Amino acid sequence: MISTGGSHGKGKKKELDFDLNLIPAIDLLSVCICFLLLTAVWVHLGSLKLEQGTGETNASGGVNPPSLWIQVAKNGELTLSTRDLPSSERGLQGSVLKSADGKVDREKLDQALELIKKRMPSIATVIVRPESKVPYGQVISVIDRLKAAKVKDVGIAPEST
Amino acid sequence: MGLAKSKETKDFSQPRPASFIPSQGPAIGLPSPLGSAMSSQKSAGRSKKDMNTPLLLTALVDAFSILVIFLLVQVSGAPNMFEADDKIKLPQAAAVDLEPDSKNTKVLNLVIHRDAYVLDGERLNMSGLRARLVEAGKLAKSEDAGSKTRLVIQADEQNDFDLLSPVLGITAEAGISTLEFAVQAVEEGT
Repeated sequence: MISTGGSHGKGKKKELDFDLNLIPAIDLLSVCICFLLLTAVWVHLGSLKLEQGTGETNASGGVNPPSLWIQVAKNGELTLSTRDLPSSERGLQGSVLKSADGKVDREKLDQALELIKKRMPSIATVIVRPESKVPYGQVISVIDRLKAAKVKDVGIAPEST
Repeated sequence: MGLAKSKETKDFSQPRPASFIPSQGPAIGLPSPLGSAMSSQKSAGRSKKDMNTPLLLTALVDAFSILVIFLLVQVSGAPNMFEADDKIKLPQAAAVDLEPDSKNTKVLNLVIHRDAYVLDGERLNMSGLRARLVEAGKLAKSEDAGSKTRLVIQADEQNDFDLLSPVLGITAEAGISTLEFAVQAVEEGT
């Protein structure tokens, strides 16, 4: 209750009283909630962006940059090897990251990438080379870890049999 | 002609309810049928406990307001860059790119099913896909030197890589250098 409080004349109080009607507010909020529930984006989609060489770019005959090649096997095994490294750095030749459950071991890959970054800082390009029967989800998993490790250039090569 | 003032005004000397009470009705003071029924039971002589439990509408409004704010934040987030196909289950990834690309790009949306390739809603076989992508690549080059064509690929996480592999060759041939693999964005570590 809100009262104006002032006395007018012979002690007669003028009272100002009003109710805040909450029912329409609840109705409005309910409609808003229904609308927002229907239009909200629950599944966020994103993309992993890769740049690949086209017909015009790979005919230059220039020097290949130092690169890491990751071969992905059907059983989730990863084989890491390096190419075109400078002579000052000792590369990898077929280091295998085994998988226990048939899927790519993301933790092992993270650790390996961390180690490679420290020991071979010249590597800025990584090429993923999956076998033909590797599930697409596993390929994406490898690319995801490479992106998370802030590898500058990630590429994907057509299947290796 | 003057307006007749109603004599049935409320008694303002009584304390007002802070919330909805069935016997007193919603804030405007009209008694509700439920409240009246309960009051009549009381008057029948039986000593019953007062069933007029106040409904705290303020708390309800607070809860609704919080819900609305939460949902508004959800809605005002970045919209998805593309429409996902219902039939495929996209793989999950954490290090995703949620920002849309620059304006000067033409986007092609390729959905890879087990038996067919669907490019921008058109179902194609391998030769059809090759023709369309080569055509798109040529068109992008002829239209504007600065424009780029990017291909958004959606495929089921259980698909074999050999369904995707020919597409990589075709895109390289067609001069499409930017590939985007559609994924479901998740938080790191989930």
